[in-house]
Formats: sequence, C-alpha cells, structure tokens
Amino acid sequence: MDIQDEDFQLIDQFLDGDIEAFEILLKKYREEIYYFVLRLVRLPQDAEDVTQMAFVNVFRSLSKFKKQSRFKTWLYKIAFNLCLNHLKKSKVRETEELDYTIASDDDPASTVIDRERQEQLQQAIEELPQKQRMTVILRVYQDLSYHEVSQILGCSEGAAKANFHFALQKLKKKLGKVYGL
Amino acid sequence: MDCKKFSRLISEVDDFDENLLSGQAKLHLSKCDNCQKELEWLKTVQGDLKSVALPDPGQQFFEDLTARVHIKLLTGNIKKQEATRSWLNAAWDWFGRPSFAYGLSAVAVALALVVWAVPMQKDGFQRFQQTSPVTFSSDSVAPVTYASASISPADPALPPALNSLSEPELRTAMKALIHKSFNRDDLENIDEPFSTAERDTYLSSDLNQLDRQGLQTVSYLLNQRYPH
Repeated sequence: MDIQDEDFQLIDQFLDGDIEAFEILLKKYREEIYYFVLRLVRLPQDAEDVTQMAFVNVFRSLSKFKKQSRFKTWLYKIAFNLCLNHLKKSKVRETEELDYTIASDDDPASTVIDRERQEQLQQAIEELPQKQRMTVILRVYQDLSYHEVSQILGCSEGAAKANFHFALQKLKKKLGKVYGL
Repeated sequence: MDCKKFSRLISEVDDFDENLLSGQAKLHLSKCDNCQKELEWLKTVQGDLKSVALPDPGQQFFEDLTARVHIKLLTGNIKKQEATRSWLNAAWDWFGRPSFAYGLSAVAVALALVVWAVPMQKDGFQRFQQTSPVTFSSDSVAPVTYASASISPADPALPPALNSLSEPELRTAMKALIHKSFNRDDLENIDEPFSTAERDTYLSSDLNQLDRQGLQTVSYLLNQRYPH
C-alpha cells in the first residue's frame, strides 16, 4: 500500500469514529509540518502555534477533504495558509533570523569557508521574493514535486517552475562569485 | 538549443539530474562549458541548502505539540460553552433589575397558566428530553452545563463507532472532556490556552485517571456536536 492509500484509509477510519487514526496522521506529519512552518515564520514559538493550529483545522475539516489531492498536500496547504495569515499579522517578524545549524566535515579550514558560503546562501534565500522563497523551501527542503508545490501555493505548475527558475537565477547573480562562477 | 533554454530545463529536473534531460539538452550540455559549470553550481547550491539543518527540538517537544493539539480541540469547545454562559449571565443581570422583576413575574405566571391549560403532547416531551441541558458535577468541581446537548446514542449524525456507545458511556465521554486525562505537568507547561480558572478546574478534577482513548473519543464527539 502506498503512502497516499495509507493516508486515505486512515481518514476513512477517522470519519468512521476511530480517533486513533487521526493520532497516527498527526504523529506521521507533525515534524515535517513543524519544520516547514518554522522555515516560513522563523520563530520556534510561532511555528509551534501555527503547527498546532494547522492540525486543529485538519481535525475539524477532515470530513470536507475530497481526496482529490494527497492528504499531505492538503495538510501543507492548510499550514501554508496559516503561515501567510500569521506573517500578515506580524510583519515586523519578517526580519527575524532563523537559527540553523550547518553540517560540517572534519577539515576545519574548509568548514570555515563552507560556513561563510552557506550563511551567504541562507541570507540570499531570505531576500528572495516571497513566492520564490516559498517555492525553494517546498522544492528543496520539503522535497515536493512541482505539481504539489503548485497545489499548495495555489498557482499553475508552470508558475511554480518559473518561480524556482527565477529564484535560482537570482541566487546565481548574488552568489556567483562566492561559488567561483 | 541555447544556454537560456538549457538553464530553464535543468531547473525543472528533480535534483538537477542531467540523466533525466532530453537528448537535445544532453547534447548541448556535452558541448557547452558554461552550462556544465552552471550544472555543477546548481548541485553545489542544492547540497549546501540540504546541509543546513534546523535545530532539533527533541522528541518530547513533538509529544507536547500533540498534547497541545488535543487541548486546543478541547478548550475550543469549552470556550464556546463559556461564551454561551456569559451571554446568559448578562441577560440575567439585565432582567434581574427591580424594574423588570415585577413584569417578569407576571409573564411567568401567565406562561405557567398556559402550560397548565394545554396538555403537553407526548412526542414534544420526548424531544424536550433529548435536547435538555446536560449537567455534570463532581465533589470538587462546580457543575458544568452543556446547553441543548443531545446525547441520544442513536443519533444518526454520529459515526457508527460512537453510536455503539450507550448513553452513560456518552455522558462519561462528555464528562471526560471537561476533566480530561492530561496530567498536572502537561497543564502547567502550557500557558496559552488556559485561564487560571480553567486550569484550576482541570487540576482539581478527580477524573484525571481517564485513559487517552476516552479523551480522544470525547474530543471527537464534542467537535462533531459543536463544530466551529
């Protein structure tokens, strides 16, 4: 059974009154959604609140889910919309920097260079226009297909591809020298 | 094919895997140094992006997050009930003024006479029974009333699994919603959804022994009954 069928089966069980099925879905996706939300809203406390609200909304509206997309995509869309609302309400927080760690290898010299380069890369991503940044996050960090990205962002697949392409072009322009291009 | 078109095509391919490109694009890549450099750059950038990890808040954090989802589902309903009660209290204060007291008494007497004079039909009485307020109380907790809560176990709106519960089981389930099964530590670590009064109500409960399944059943049940 693939992941989609498994999720649909859990949804059916939940709608038949099996609360444990919702619990399974919650545990399955909570980490992924939390990290996605954290990348968008930047503050851990806000990410926790938004993630919590996303699952509450899912619980309340699962009976309206039409199964026309993957459950995961629908869940991401709910979380994404909550993030947008949250960001609108707290514009000042867009300047917050995300606290992240960079995987390092054993060579201290190369680690310093890599760290600098990666910090510049993170900074450049933060400065991307919102839709391009969202597309990069969904494509690279969340590993979603263009089809899924388009469903979550509410745009065409072509627009999602274009956003990603233009994001890469901007990164190349800003970081070309850093990467020795 | 030109470099611009190649650049667009490679950005659409999963993981910038050149093996997934069309024959024409592969041919262009084999001949173009710039595009080879760009592909190498894309792969390095992707590697850099993926090597950046967000801090792991730990497993307990996610367990707490799950608990907070349950509590939010729970308190949403309770707050709704409280809103109803505060409206009733406000109405009671208004009508409780002396100037209205006599008028209200007169209306009450007139209504009593009408009710006494008109025999109550049997089916109407049954409907009243099904939708009458449900009140719960314990030794340590003040009574809590769910207005107009129909608790008939044969409710067609309920999922089959919940319809199999008897009326006492449904009552217990609703009771569990109020007194639920989170322990003291869970509650004290969560600031946002609770007022002090709500927290005291939970903590003074003597029904904290209810199991998780009971809580989940209740949570679902009440969300079905009082959807937002």
